[in-house]
Amino acid sequence: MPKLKIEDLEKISDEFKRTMTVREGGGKVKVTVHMGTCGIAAGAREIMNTFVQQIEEKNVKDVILTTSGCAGLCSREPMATVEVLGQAPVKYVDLNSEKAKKIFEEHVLKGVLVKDYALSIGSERIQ
Amino acid sequence: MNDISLHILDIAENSINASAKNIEILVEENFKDDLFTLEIKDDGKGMNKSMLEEVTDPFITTRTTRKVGLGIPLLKQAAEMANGKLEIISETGKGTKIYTSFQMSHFDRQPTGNIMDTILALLASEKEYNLKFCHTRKYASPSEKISCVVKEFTFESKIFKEHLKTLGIENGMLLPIARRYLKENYNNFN
Repeated sequence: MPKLKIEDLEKISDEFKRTMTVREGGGKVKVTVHMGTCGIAAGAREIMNTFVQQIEEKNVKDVILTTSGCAGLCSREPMATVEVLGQAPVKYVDLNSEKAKKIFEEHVLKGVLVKDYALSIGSERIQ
Repeated sequence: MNDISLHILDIAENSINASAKNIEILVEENFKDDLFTLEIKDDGKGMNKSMLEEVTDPFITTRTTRKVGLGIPLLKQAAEMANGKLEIISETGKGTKIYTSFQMSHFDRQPTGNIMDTILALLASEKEYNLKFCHTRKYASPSEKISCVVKEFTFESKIFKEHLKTLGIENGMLLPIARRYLKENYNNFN
């Protein structure tokens, strides 16, 4: 009966510790994937998974990845909010894996907003 | 919802939103009896009787109890389509238990999907809770001496996180490490 395999966990952790770096001068970034019923049905989990893979691939550990519920714009799911510390949060809509990758590379890592996929800055609804 | 793993994520998100401190997800694939069962238990705020009656009706719940929404009706439909059922036991202040069954080989049973991704998405929540997950597979026995062959994978987020802490791992690395751990240990447990 496989319980938690400590050796495996130690091995994986060591590898991560060796490769992960905190980027110099890079502020904390928080990425929230909206995980309501609407979001999940539209593919939010895939977006989440893409961000996790990006963190692993790009070797960063100062990105906080989290989930939240329905944001009230069910027709524009999957959605994610990117918040660079000290700046207004940006909501991205109609996401897929490719878009999530670009948002991670541009906005999360370089701080450059990806205007094409953004719905709004802040939390107001713009139609 | 295209597969069962997505339903699991959705229902467990309900548990998180109901302020649960402990969530248990039990998946059992019983090849011996052609039965797929899913049980999600939590110690969240639970539901009262009137809410419990309405919770499987999408047209009532979406209006009055926004918190629950379409998730449960969708799972109920998925189960009933596959010759199964959905049952809810809930008590205010104590928690909720949702039991779902499917006929495993049924033509309309949704595929199991990627449960690993569901666990990852649940680990990402900011809320503090302990997630217990258990996936069991039961096979018909090759001999008469034993009733069936059982294989099991278990995961508990509290224990996992505690171990990472003792290894000096920061929170930001939890998800990529959990992803690799589950990939290596869960995806090939059969």
